[in-house]
Amino acid sequence: MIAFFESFGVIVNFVILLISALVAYGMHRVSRPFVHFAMLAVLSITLLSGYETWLGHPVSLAPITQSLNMSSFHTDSLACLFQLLIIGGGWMAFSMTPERERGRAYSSTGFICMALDLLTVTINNYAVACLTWMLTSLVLATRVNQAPELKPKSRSIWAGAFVGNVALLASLALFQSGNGGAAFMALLVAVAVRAGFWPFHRSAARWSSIAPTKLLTCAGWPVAIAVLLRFGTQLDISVFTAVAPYVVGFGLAIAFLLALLAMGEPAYRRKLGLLSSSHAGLALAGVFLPNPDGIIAAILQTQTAWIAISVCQLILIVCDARAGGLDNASKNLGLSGAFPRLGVGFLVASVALIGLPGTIGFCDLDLLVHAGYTTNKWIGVLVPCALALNAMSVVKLHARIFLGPVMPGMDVIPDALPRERMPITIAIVFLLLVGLVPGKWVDTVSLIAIEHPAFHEGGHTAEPNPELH
Amino acid sequence: MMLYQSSLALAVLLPAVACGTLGGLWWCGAQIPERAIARFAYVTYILMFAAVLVTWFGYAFVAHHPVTVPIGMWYHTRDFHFEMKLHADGISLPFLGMTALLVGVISAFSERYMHRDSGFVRFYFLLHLFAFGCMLLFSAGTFDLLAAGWELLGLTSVLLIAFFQHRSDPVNASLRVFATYRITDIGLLTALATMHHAVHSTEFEQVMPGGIAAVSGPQATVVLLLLMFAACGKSAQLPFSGWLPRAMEGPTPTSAIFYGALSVHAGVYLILRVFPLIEASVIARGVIVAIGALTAIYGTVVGRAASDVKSSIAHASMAQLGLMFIELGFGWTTLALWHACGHAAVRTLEFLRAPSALRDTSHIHSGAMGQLDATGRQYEKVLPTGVRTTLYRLAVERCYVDSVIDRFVHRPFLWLIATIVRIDHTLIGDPRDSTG
Repeated sequence: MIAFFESFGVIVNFVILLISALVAYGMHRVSRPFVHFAMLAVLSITLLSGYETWLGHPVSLAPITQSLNMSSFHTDSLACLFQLLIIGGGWMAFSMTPERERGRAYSSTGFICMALDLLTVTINNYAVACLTWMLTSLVLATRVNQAPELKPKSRSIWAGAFVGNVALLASLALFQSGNGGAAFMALLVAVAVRAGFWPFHRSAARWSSIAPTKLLTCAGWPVAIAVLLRFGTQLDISVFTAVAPYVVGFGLAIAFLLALLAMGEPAYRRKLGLLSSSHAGLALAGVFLPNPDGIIAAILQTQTAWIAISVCQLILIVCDARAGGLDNASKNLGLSGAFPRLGVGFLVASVALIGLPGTIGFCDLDLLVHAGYTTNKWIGVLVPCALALNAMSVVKLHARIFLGPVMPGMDVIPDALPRERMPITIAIVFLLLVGLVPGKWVDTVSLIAIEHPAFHEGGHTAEPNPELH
Repeated sequence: MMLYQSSLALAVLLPAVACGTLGGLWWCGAQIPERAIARFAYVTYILMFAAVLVTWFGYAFVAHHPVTVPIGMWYHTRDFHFEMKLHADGISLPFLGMTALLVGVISAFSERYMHRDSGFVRFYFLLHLFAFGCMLLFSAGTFDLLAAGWELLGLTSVLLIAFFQHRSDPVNASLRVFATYRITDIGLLTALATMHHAVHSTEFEQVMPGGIAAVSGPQATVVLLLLMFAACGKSAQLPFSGWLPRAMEGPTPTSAIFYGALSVHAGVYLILRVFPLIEASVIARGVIVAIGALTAIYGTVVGRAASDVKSSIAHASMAQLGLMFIELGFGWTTLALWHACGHAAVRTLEFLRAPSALRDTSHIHSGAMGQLDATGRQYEKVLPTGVRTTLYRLAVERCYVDSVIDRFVHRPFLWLIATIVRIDHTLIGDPRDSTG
């Protein structure tokens, strides 16, 4: 049975999610037990299909395949970790969706996008990965455009999807014509659009501020990082290593710039969107550092930032559904007095995001600083500086929303409901548990870095690059 | 594993278990009576103190060398190892004993002080977390582990300053403290990276084998200056001293334990710990003495014009910490160690008595049958009036340190953010534009 799921797990998951999308579309109001059942099934199959990875016997990154067959689907460390991230994020978003958003349209779109995202991070066929990526962007942009209340605000989301898809199409065409280097550069543009790097940050921040809850975690930048890790070196390893120093610089510059923009942003959800993109900049820098620790730090950074920011976003949505008009508030809202558990959830996620000890964020910060310092001393100094700026933004955000005098009338509104408490608890336990006992998790992530072609023939040398000093 | 090694591990773990238990019960919605929380804390700190005493006994009478507990690798990659190791020696044991004793005292005091406060559980949770951070910091056998304790200390400090979260002043003060800590922690993180790079380890025995620094010359100076940068933040030395009076917004027991007893001495401990590096760098010694001296003068002058008792004690603490840094710079480590321990005990008592200070003063004055002069007034009278006026003005304005930082750091930083946002809006468009 395990052998079956190893070979066909991804396809089974894809089919389950598509059927779930159809069933959800047939329901007037999507029932929560149905969502939990579908998600549990998908999660179990993912765990079964990657059981060798969890036992410490990973499938190494295979060479890129040109045709679509069963061997194109991967259950290696990279696929397993990112699948968990997508499923976990989706499940959390579905569970914490406020009652007013339980319509069928968003549910079915959410299932479809999750299925496409899973395919994107597991497939080893560049053409299919690009197509699923493009399709996700199109589906989301179309769905938002069809919602009457969101349509007037969706122009930048459409623009982002358009630019990203053009870049991916170009990359695909160039790859098919044998120009791997140019295809890689076009892929970098698509990653920049998806992650919301300047000048594409407006699209990502807008998505963060208006996205329906169920779609919030779909098509996130971790998918782009996964694609970059899997295909980046395989498109053209010489270009990958040649542009690495510039991309590291670009990633750090973006992290700084977006951290500063986040500090100046008054709207809470947009601020979180900008912070997310800033952390994506650090992850990008990690991927291109000529040191395996950089890739490990980048993957840990991706996981931590994505989970933490998703938790923060979802808690803000839940608070907004209860208190209303968070963005228009002119003073501290003091919601912690009324919603202490939501406040604690937000705080723990923030602490993980800024890399304080006891959370997995501490490990990624430590590794990123170390990997950066090994490459160039100034990178080692700049990484904690960028994180410090982000830390100030997120802690100020926590203070603004949860600290201060309790708003009148808030004391009768309930704190986190069981359906909200459960995903927050799981996310917090993950962030803390993996932070307290990170050894096994880091080992699993290390396997991706060790197998990564960037550190084998034709890629970076494992030793620090003297030219960078 | 010997008994004294197990007791060291137990002393570190006890507050962590207490913190986890309390936090878990609260999260699950359990209603825990105040008395149960307080009793649980008594038991925890009595056991913790006993465990530290056993370790001390083992160090002094059995092992005759530092007690180490190798726990193993927390995580590692091909080039990076995060070693977990506890270490108790003549420097760390006084701090460990002080932590167990003073946190226990504060815990007992707080049962009544925080009685019926809506944040009773939160207070004890943070107190346990703080105790864990302190124990980790003072018993760490590697600088990586020390940094973990250091950061936990900062986090609990910030959360406790904002304890009375329904008022805006404590919240703003906690944000200021957090910003200072995060900025200065960059020094610690970079110093760790430098150690990893230079020595491939942050274990005390590797960085300072046999009490001699493994790095020397400019590298030792850089590491020490980075560590001093971090220590200045935690121990409120110039130019980062502005946060300490603001931190008094927290509950009095936490002011006592953080800003009188333990947290502010973390910087002194850090420099004590790397003393062999100080010996390797004359420049760093000079910097430490200079910063310590300036802070001592600043704390003394400003503290005399402080208008409330907690601020006055905070500035006095700052001045004493400055003196400790001078002692460290001159190499008088034993004096600095005892100075830190004595100062922590005295300040804890002073802070805990602070709420009763007005009543105490009134009693003293009635006992003396009249108004007594403030302490040290006779020295002030020696100075010419013009000098006294200038000093008074300087003291009231806090030597313009805050104004200078506001003018040359804070405002330019805000201007930078505003400019970047403006440029971004000009180039990309205003995000508040509803179309998208």
